[in-house]
Amino acid sequence: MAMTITEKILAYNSGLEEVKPGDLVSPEVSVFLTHDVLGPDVADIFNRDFKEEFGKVWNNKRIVVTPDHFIPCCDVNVANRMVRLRKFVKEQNIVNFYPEGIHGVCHEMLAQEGFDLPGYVIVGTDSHTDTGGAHGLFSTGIGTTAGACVAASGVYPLLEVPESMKLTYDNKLPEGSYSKDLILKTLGEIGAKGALKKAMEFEGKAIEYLSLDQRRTICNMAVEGSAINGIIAPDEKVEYYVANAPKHKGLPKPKYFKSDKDANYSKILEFDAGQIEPQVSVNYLPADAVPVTKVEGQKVDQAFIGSCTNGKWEDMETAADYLEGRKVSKGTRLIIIPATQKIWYRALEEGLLDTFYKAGASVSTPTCGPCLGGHMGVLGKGERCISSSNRNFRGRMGDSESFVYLASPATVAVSAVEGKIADPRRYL
Amino acid sequence: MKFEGNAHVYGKNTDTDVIIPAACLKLDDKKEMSKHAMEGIDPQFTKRVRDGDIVIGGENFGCGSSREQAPMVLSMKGIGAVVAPSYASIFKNNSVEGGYLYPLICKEEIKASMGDRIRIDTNKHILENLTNGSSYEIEPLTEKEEILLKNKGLIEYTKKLIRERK
Repeated sequence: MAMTITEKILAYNSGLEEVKPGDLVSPEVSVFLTHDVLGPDVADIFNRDFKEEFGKVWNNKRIVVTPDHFIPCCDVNVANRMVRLRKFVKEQNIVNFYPEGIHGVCHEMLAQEGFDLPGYVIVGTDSHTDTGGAHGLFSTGIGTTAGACVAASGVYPLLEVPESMKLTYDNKLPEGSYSKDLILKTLGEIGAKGALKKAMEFEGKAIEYLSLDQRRTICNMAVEGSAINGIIAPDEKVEYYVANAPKHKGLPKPKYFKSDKDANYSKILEFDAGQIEPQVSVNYLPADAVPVTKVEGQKVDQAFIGSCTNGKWEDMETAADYLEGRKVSKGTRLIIIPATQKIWYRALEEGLLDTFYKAGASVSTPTCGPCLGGHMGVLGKGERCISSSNRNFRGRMGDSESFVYLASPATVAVSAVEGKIADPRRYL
Repeated sequence: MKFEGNAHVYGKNTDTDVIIPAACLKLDDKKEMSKHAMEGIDPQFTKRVRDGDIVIGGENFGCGSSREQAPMVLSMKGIGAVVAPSYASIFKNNSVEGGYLYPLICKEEIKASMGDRIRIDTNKHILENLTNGSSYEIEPLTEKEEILLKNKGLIEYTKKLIRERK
C-alpha cells in the first residue's frame, strides 16, 4: 500500500508493515521531551502512579529535559517546581538535562544537541514539538498524563494516525520574505482549523532552497493550523545535519523515509512562493495573516525577536542585517532573545550582540519568556507588540487588553526601527 | 453518561491561553490556578459556574498549547462536559487521557445562551436545551475514548501495557 512519510514513520516505529489514517497505534518513542512548565507535573504523576510498581523511567538516555519557559526561575512558585523537577532528574539519572548555563528553548535544543534525527517519533509536553518534523521525523505535542505514561513505558499509547495534506511551494521566496511569511501565508489560506487532526507535509522547490533553520520555523507553526504534525522529507541538508550534530549513546539510528508517489492525501494545496509577501498576523489569531502593507504604520510599544519559532541563528543574523547602523525608535522597546546559549555565544563572537547593543536593543539570556507572557517583556494594558513568536491569542504576552502582531524577524526589526509596523522590503 | 447543568457559551477557536493564561501555569497550587479559568474572555465564569455545568464551544475548541491545565481547571470548576463541533487534538486528548471531562462533538449549531439549562445523555446521543426546547444529536465517543473509559484512563492502560511487555 502506498504511504505518506508520516504513515511510514508511524508504521516503522509501531512495528507494523503499514498503517492508514484513523488506525490507533502505540509507537515506540525515540525521544521524549519535557520542560519546566509541564515537567514537574510529569514527575509528580510518574512518582504517584508508576514509581512504586516500575521504579525507573523506561530509558534515562532518551528523555530530554530542557527548562526554558520561565527560566532562569522568574518567581518562587517556579523555583519550587524546578526543585521538584531537578530531584526527579537526579533520582532517575536522566542524562540529557540542560539547566541554566547550557540551556535554551526546548525545540531548538533538540535540533542543536542532535536529537532531531530523521525517522524518529518525538513527543514532548509542548505543542510546538511539531518543530522537529523539518528533519524528516514525526513529532507532536502531548499533555502531562500522556507525558508520564511515555516516560514510564517508552510508547505513546493510542495515537490516531493522521490523514496527510500536501502543501507544495513552487519557485523561491522573494527578497524580504522568509519562511515565517510562508507559514503565516499558508495559515491565512487554510485557517486556524485548516489542518485539524492532519499531518501537514511541506514540499516543493521553495522548501528545498531553505536551510533547516528556516524549515523548522514552518513545521513549528503547523499546530497553529491545528495539525498533529508538520513534516518535510529529509534531503542532503538533513544528511549533513546527521553527520555533524552531536552524538548520544543509546539513541535509535536515523532512518530516511519519503512519501510514495501515489500516497493518499486528503487535500493538496499549491502555492507560488515567489508571490508571498511579508505577512503579519492580527486579530488574536495566528491564522489571521495579512500582507504587511495592510497594517503598515500601526504604532508598536514593543518588538520581540526570539522564541522556538524565530530565535535561531539565522534569525539573529537576519535581525542584525536589518539593525546594522540603525537605532530602535524612541518610545519602542526591542527585546532580542537568542533561543539557546550556543546561539547567544555565537552572536557575541560574531559581533551581532554589538550590533544589537548599538541599535538600542535589550538582549537576554535564552528563555521562552515574553512569548507566553511569562517574564522578560510582559505587556501591559493597551500595549501593542510585534513579535517573531508563534501565538497572538488574547492575553498571550500579558494583559488581556494587550495586542500582539506576529511577523518575521526582518519585519519585527524594521518595525522596531520605525516604532510602527514597517515593510522590510523598503530596506533591501 | 448523563450530564445536566447550565450552559457557558463561547465562540470558535477558544484557545488555551484564554482557558488558562500561561502566567498562571507558574502556580503550584492547582486550586489557586483554577480560580483563573476562562479569565481571558469571561472574568465572571468562576463566580457563575456550578458543579455539572456544561461548556458549549465553537469550532476548534482548545486550540493552542499542550497545557493539560486547560481541561483540568475546567473540570476543577465543575465542568463535566464540553460540547463543540470540533476540538484541537491536544486539548481533546488531554481531556480524556487525564480523565478530566468529556469532550463531546455536536456537528449542528447549538442554539443556547449563557445560563440555559442543558441535559446530555451520551448513551442516547442526545443534547437537549431545556430552556428553549431544542435538541441535538451528539456523536458517539471515539474508539480511543471507549478504550480509555474501559481501562479507567491512560495511566491504567499504560500500566497494563508495561506489564504485558515484561
